Amino acid sequence: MRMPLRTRVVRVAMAFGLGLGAVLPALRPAVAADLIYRIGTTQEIDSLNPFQAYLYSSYEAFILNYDVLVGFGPDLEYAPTALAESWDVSTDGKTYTFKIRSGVQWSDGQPMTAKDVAFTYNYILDSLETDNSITLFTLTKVTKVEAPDDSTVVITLSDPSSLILGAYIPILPEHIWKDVTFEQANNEFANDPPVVGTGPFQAVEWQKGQFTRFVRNEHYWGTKPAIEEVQLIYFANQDAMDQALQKGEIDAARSILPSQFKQIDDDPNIVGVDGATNGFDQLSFNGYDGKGAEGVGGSTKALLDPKFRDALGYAVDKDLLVSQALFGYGEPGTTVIPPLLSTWHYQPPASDLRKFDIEEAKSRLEAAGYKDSNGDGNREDKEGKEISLNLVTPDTNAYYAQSANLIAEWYKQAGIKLNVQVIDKDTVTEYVTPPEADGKANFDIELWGWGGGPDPDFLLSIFTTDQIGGWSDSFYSNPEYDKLYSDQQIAPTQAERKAITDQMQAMVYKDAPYDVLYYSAELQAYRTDKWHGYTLQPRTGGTPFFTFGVENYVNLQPGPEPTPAPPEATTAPGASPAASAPTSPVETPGSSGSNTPLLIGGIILLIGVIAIGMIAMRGRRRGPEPDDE
Amino acid sequence: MGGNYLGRKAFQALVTLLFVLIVNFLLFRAMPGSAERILLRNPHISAEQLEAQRVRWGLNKPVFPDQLVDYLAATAQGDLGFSFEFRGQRVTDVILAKIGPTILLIGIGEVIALVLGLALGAYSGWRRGGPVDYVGTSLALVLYSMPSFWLGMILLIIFSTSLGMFPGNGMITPGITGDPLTRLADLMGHLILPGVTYAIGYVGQYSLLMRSSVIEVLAEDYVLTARAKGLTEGRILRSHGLPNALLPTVTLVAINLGYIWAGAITVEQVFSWPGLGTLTVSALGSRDYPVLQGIFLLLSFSVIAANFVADIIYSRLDPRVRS
Repeated sequence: MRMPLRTRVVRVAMAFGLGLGAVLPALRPAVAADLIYRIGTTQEIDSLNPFQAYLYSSYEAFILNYDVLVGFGPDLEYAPTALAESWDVSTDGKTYTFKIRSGVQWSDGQPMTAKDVAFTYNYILDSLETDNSITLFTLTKVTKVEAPDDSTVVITLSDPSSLILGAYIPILPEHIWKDVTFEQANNEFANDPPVVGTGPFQAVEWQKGQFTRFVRNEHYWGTKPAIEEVQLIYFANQDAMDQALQKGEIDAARSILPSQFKQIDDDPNIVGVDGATNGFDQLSFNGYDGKGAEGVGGSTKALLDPKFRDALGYAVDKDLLVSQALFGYGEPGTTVIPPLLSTWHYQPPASDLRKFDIEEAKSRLEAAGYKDSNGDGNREDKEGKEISLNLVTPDTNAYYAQSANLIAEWYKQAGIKLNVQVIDKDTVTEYVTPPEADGKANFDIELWGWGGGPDPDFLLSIFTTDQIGGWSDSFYSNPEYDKLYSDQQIAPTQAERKAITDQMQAMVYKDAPYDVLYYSAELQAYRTDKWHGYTLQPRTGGTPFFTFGVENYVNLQPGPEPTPAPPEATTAPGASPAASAPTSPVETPGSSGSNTPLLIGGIILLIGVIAIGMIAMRGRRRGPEPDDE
Repeated sequence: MGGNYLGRKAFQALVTLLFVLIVNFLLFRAMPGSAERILLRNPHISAEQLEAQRVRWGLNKPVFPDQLVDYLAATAQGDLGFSFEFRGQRVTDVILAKIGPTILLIGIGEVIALVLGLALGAYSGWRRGGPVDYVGTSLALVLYSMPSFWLGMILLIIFSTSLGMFPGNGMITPGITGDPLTRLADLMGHLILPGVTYAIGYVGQYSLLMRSSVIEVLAEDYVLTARAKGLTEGRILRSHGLPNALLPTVTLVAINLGYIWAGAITVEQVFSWPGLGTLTVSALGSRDYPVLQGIFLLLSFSVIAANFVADIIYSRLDPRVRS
């Protein structure tokens, strides 16, 4: 017997009722909707456990949840904006004594003391002795961390170094983490919400693939924020995020599409911030000296020759890369510390800069002995082998592939064949892994990028011999550079350190293991009609969010800017004049005019449908008509 | 006879499933890149640590037969292992959390598509040559051929951004509170645009199939007989036309239902709907092999199951296939 149709419908309806119940969220405490601050991001956080998170987004969660020991001020200088109220250095530079803020409480009400700081640092140090070492954070030259009393932390170093001040490590509550083994910390421990920390906002809910909610920490030691809840909202679709910002569904957004930045910035209620990234993108030349090992290293010995790499530097038009691949949002690259870290960035003198000039590239290649002796338009290396380079680049950014193709064209003009391979980032990592780490370093050039911390130490470390088998992807090895690297770690003053880091940057520029292509812009935008009091970190060239502090989360006030002229600090260089224009409190959705073409398109489409219908009708009338009813 | 038919079909389904399992296993082992390296995502580790990870994840054993046998045994027990991306979470938990939203989206979409599509198709076929047929058929063709991500963007821009009628991102308003009805309304509001986007494509497909099927059936001899007996046109359609015309549609719907997990990738991506589609994309992006393997398994299983169910329903609707 057939089941009666009606019964089936009822069953389907019941199944639906059940499904619905399962996806409805549970009841949660209410927060006034207008005191919620919503930030859109296309990169979801990957973990709430600081020892497992690799993505930039997660670090925004950590600065909301936790405090570090030494914080950063408005211009990324070390400042008592976090748990350490003050610090002293012994005369030999090997002992740091930190005074910890008193009266700080964890978000669960437990007192936070110097013991928690010592616990966190020792947790990382102790893990290094096991098979489950925590490698995401480094405590350079630290040998001992102690808390003699509740308000003092004493850190002993093997050599004098100020790097301990820049350790960007969230301080964790001992009463929760003492029961977590290193193996768990590296694997199954997810640090699920509600997270317990000392930061101004605590994660209470993470709906994977949707959003993370942070509520105000009522035990926070600092200024009580006006914002009651922060939401990081994930958008799988970047266009949808830009639309949501214009509609006012979110208050700010990170990583605006360059192609839409201008339109968004033109909105009277939105300020676009064309900030600088703390990093760079580069061509990395495979300098691995295979020493004859089978299948190891690059395809030609020419890659090991600084003169070859220097010549190729003249065959890249960085200005054009910025204007075409980055839509103009970025700066042409030079050295390996980005200009955002203005204290440390070194700009080579104009006379040393490689300017785009194919003829210059050709003559330098000739002079270095890379000639086209068989006249096929392609040069041979000194062993007489045709040079045919293979470039690998990850598929994470559209501008990587675009840049690679432009570069291939210029190299070709200089007589060097370049094949471009765009693949997923893990395979790129696999290609650039040398035998020291169980790989084969099977590539010629890698196009990728790096991001650094507020201290330049990490970006400089990439070129040390120690890092071959570690972070190094050029396998640059220069004893002189290695020596300078350790010297800068123990330089007694900033000026002395700066003199050394300048020398290091100049050295990398000259030897060219990297050709730094550009410093791409970090495009953010925020609405001015619901909150005011925005600041950028650093003040010049910085961004409001995803920085190294919580200024805006703590200081923003509800409502539009009360006076027409905002304080100087809120105006970003490169931001539109709209930033300083008086903001209109009345939102006018859909009036931007940008959607008119789409509406017209829709109408044309409708007319098209009707026209097709008419044509079909005429066609049928003419055609033979079989027995119709 | 009937039991025999069922048994044969069930056996076929099982063999297919086993085959899929093995291909699934081999496929991911054949991809470039080593799993333990992806797991660690950090080149800055020692050889000892790499080895410890290999042991931990059973990667130190030979792929064949040890790893394959382990995999088949674990899968049979419903253990799909741990996700790489969401550390410490079982693949089954990661996938289960996303099944609800996808079923909801696809369910609503399929219901809309079925009701509208079958009604439009049946009417167009019945009143063939009429104005509804002309407009309906050309409309169905246009809808059928529209790429869903493009349609989704257009709907998003018109109904979400410009008119502000519906939300265009996610499944619920973050942190929403209130009684279950308010939350249900919020969920429904989020569901409308993706649901309609999904449905529109299938309305066209179903109505075209239903139309041609009705036309074919109405030309049959038994319909002529019924008409000769003096039955009304409506009665003929209800008693003789529709039940027979539904046969091919059942097959199509069953096969579509098998693909529902995959069918929503583009729609889910446009509206950031937290279902299996967005999970697939993010798992691909981060090379979360265990999760991908789980999704593939679920997908193949549902296609095989849907075909099996279609065979059963078909044999019930049409006694001829059983013999």
